[in-house]
Amino acid sequence: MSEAEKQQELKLGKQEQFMLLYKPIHEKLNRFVHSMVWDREDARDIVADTVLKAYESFDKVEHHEVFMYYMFGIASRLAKRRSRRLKFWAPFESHHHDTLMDNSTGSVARQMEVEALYRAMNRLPEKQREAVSLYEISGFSLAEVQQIQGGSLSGVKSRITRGREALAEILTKEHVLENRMHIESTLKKAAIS
Amino acid sequence: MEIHQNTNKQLNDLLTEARHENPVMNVKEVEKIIAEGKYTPAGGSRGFHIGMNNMIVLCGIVVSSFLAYMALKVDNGDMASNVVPVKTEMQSSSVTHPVLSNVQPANDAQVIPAPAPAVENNHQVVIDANKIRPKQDISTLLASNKNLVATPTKTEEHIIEPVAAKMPSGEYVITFNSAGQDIKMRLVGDEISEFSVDGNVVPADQYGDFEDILSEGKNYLIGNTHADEGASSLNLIKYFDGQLRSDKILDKEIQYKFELSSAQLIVNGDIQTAEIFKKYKGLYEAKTGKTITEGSVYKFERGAKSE
Repeated sequence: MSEAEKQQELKLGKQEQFMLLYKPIHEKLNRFVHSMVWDREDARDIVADTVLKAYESFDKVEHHEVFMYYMFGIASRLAKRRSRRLKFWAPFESHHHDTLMDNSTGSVARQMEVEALYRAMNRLPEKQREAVSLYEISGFSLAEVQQIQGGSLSGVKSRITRGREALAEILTKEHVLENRMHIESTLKKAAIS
Repeated sequence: MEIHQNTNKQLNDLLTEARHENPVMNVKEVEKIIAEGKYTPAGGSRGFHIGMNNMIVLCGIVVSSFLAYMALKVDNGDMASNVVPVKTEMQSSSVTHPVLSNVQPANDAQVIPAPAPAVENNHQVVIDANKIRPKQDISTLLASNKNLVATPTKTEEHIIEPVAAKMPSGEYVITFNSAGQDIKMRLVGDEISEFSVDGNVVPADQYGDFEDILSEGKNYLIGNTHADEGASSLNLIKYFDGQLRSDKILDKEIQYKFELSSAQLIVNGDIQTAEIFKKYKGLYEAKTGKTITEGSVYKFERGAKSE
């Protein structure tokens, strides 16, 4: 952070300072949480809780360079806690399909495939799921994932590799990847003809 | 190999698509949350969840409610309707009444119906058994003087009669055996002035504990029932008194002792002739409807003075 930015921070109020640091990680945090908890509404809850908790203790964060890890740490804990609680809860899925149908951001088929991916991720061990989510979906580097998760770099790599293999296996069993290949080949044939 | 590569490619594409997903919440919403300091989810968008926790709590409520209901039912006695009352020694004693267990009916046809025995009415049995009674030797409760087990016979069912207000006037001492216990009663009219069991004097405030025995003693004094013969015939002592005077056995004596056993009649210590004995035995049997069996004695003392 440059000297000018630091001077600007001092002039701003707490809320502005928080948002200044939060905005760059907003999308990554949202995707990470969504992939971790699968359900869109639950993801909204967790993002909101993460923001509130982080904002409450924002004064204690002395080095704003670590703000990103701080936020992802909170989000990760809340997502894991919710996943553990869900082991004893049966999710009601109808509203989930309503969300998909109402989503105007993309085709329903694509949305369903992404949902299938999140469901598959939900079946991975916690650490693997977190590593895959941070690296593959949120777009963090291996070093950043290591910072958030802790442990060694090789451990992070190993978790991502094993996580990908497990995902491929689950999605293959559920014919998600197979359907994608079929659609892709059909589209190619159509384009040629 | 090609399949593996295709799978990897498809997975990468899928992950890339996920990477381009729109955020679940926009930045303005986050700003609003921070400004308000709270997050309110959109109402009705969460669906309904039935989980294990809810099920466990629900089951707990149902089970505890059921148990509480059953406990309440038991407390109210609703569940006791099927319970057969357990017969106790007390019940047995009320059925096999020991008084005059050696006295057998002379003629069954003469036996006058008495109130139904307790054994025929379970309700009555339970109530009787619940009464507080004096401590008694169990072995003597069920045995006669000869240690024979007393069984409920027709005769015994008719022994106990409610005491009528036909008590003879004067002062009497009667002794009899009840359940192997030697009972002695001193009466002035129908008032008990002295009462002892096996030689032990019972205080007046404890008479209530021996209600049955006292009632039997009074009945014994009266001489049982022959209701069809009129009220005067109930007064056995007066009857014998009159007979003794008409037979010139007594003259003007006010105080005397009368003792009739299965073998002899003794009046004021004098053993009467076999003829007199036979007559009085017959009179007794005719009036009471009972025979004097061996070992049992009917005796009274008229005009006795308090010791």
